[in-house]
Amino acid sequence: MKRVFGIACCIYFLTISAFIIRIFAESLVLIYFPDIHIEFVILVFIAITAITNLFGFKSISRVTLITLPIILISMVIIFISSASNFVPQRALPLLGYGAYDTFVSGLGNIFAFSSMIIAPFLMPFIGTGKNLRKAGGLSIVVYFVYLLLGIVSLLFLIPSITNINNTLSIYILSRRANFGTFIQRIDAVFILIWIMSIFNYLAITMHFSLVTFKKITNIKHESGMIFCFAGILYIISLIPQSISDVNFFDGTIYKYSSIMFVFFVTVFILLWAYIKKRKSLRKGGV
Amino acid sequence: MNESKKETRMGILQAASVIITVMISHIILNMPNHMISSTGPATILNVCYIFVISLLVFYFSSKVFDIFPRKRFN
Repeated sequence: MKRVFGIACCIYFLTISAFIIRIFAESLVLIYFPDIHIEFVILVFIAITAITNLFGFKSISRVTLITLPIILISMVIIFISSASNFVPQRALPLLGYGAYDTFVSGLGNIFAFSSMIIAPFLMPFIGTGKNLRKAGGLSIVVYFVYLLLGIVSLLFLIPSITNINNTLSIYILSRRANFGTFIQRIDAVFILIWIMSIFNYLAITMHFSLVTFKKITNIKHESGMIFCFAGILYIISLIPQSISDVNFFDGTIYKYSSIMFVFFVTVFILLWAYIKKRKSLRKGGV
Repeated sequence: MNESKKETRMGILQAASVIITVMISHIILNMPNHMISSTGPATILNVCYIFVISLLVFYFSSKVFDIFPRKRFN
């Protein structure tokens, strides 16, 4: 069971990371590098991810602690500066397509919170369940605030959002942000900040897939596997042949696989382990 | 119980920053776009609703960890 779940975790982290690299690289190529082949852009991302993992998780977490405030502040600046173009009436009707679509079929949107699966992996570093609850609760609240800000901004700014639009939604917000006549095209600065964020994300997910692999295979040091995993990431990220394949993954495969894996499989395994542990504790007590 | 503080020990803020970084990268990609495409103007209500559910799921899942012995990664 441990090996099966471990392999599933590795595959999940690697696949999600690979497609995220692909989605971001596609957007970068579209916006700034139309003459460069996407393979080279992806290679840069993966090479840097592999090199950061050589330094260890301590370095990755400390860099994350430094860069996160910059990322958060940049997002707040974008949301506030694009506020002058908001049309609040676009939030009506409040129930959208109806109560059923909002509360029943809209439950599928819970995949937005599927990244919280990373929280239990921090348990060995954080020590106690109480601290994990505090860290995880704080993260979910902060993420909810930013997600709400992003949704409100997009909803109020753009008349009709469709899935056909392939550009990063936050890039659209940054292009519509108004900083006065002196500062123009500041979106390049934001792109740089988002690249930092994606590097952090990739480094963290790659680290946890390596650690999971180490636990299921009993190897002594996971550093030997870094470049193997980097190669696997590169291959998976090159699998989609076109942007429509990427959109299909993004809108369908990622959504349902995240919901299944995070909210059903993981919760089921935790519950099962809990029931087994309680039974063994009771037997030991009797 | 005099465990020495190992180098890999993390504070709450550091752990939260790792989790937030992983989660917030999805906002930079097309997460709000996908949500608005499926629920339209009701996305604001929908996000509040799934936030509560996710928080509850996380809370009960993390409660389960209290029963297991603590092991550290090296």
